[in-house]
Amino acid sequence: MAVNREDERRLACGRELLPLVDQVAEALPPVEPEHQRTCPHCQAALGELEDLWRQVRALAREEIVAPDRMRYVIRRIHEGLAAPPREVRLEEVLPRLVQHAMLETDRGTTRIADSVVARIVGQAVRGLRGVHLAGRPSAVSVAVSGGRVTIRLPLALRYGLGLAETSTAVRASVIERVEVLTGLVVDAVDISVEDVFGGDAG
Amino acid sequence: MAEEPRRRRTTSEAVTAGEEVSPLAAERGATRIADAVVTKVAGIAAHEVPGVYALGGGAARAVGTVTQAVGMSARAAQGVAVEVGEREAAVDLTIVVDYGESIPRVAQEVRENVIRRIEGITGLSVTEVNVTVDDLYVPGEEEEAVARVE
Repeated sequence: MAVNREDERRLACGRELLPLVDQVAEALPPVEPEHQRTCPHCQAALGELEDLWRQVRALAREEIVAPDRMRYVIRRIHEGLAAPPREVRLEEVLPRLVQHAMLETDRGTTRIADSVVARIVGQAVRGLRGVHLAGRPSAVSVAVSGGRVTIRLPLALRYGLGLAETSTAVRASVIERVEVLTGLVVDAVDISVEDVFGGDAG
Repeated sequence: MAEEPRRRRTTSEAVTAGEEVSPLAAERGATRIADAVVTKVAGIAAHEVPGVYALGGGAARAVGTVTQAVGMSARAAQGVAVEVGEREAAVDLTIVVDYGESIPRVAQEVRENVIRRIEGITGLSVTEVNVTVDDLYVPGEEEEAVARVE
């Protein structure tokens, strides 16, 4: 038996069924109030839909208790959404890539790891009075390119020392140590003073 | 790295082809040198140079300590890679240098000593010795690090 889908959606009076569904479900005003008041087909359909929808509403009101495991998962999702996003720094998750400075000779290359330069910088600073590295020793940043190197150095300075003279002394000492021990040319030593110690600073 | 053909040829083949014959190729039989021999010679030669604290990087040394403990590798083989052809050899070395030594000077002395020893012992010509310095040894620093951890 062929069923005409169009016919299914129409009542015997020729009115469409779907607007009546909306009228009941969404509580919309009737499209044709005059016709509906007198049409038995529309009345019957509305009555059936009301009945059906009452059951749907009752079902929706029913409190559903999620299983414990599900509640736990939902709670974690809510916690995750509520927590402030944590900043993950790339260097925390990636293994550090070692860069090498290169010194060419006629029978092979000498390569010096940036971390080796950083350790020499650390040793140079250790030998000085009134300053130490701020943060962890790995805070020294070394950029190598061929036979040249640029150094960024976070320092803590003893309270009372002049910044200008101290950084000049640190810079000279770092350049001397690195150039003598590695044979590399130091292009720049950028010093940032990030902490003060001694005096009232503790 | 100098590329040398890996295929082994007989001396007569090379002579017929009019090529330079390996110093190890004799009229009646050839002498072959295993890569492991060149590796060992290079390792020992590098150790002979003052200012070389150890061979290998940090990780290689840690692994080496283990393999050494179970008798799997010679101490000299850590941090050494060789490429050996019929007449030539090239060497890659990773060394740990004593803090305070000039790294280029130590590297150059290692290079010269490795070349001298390999050429003297094996007769191979060494095309290049690449030296990588991935770590320094600073006396007292390791004890300090341990003390901080405790």
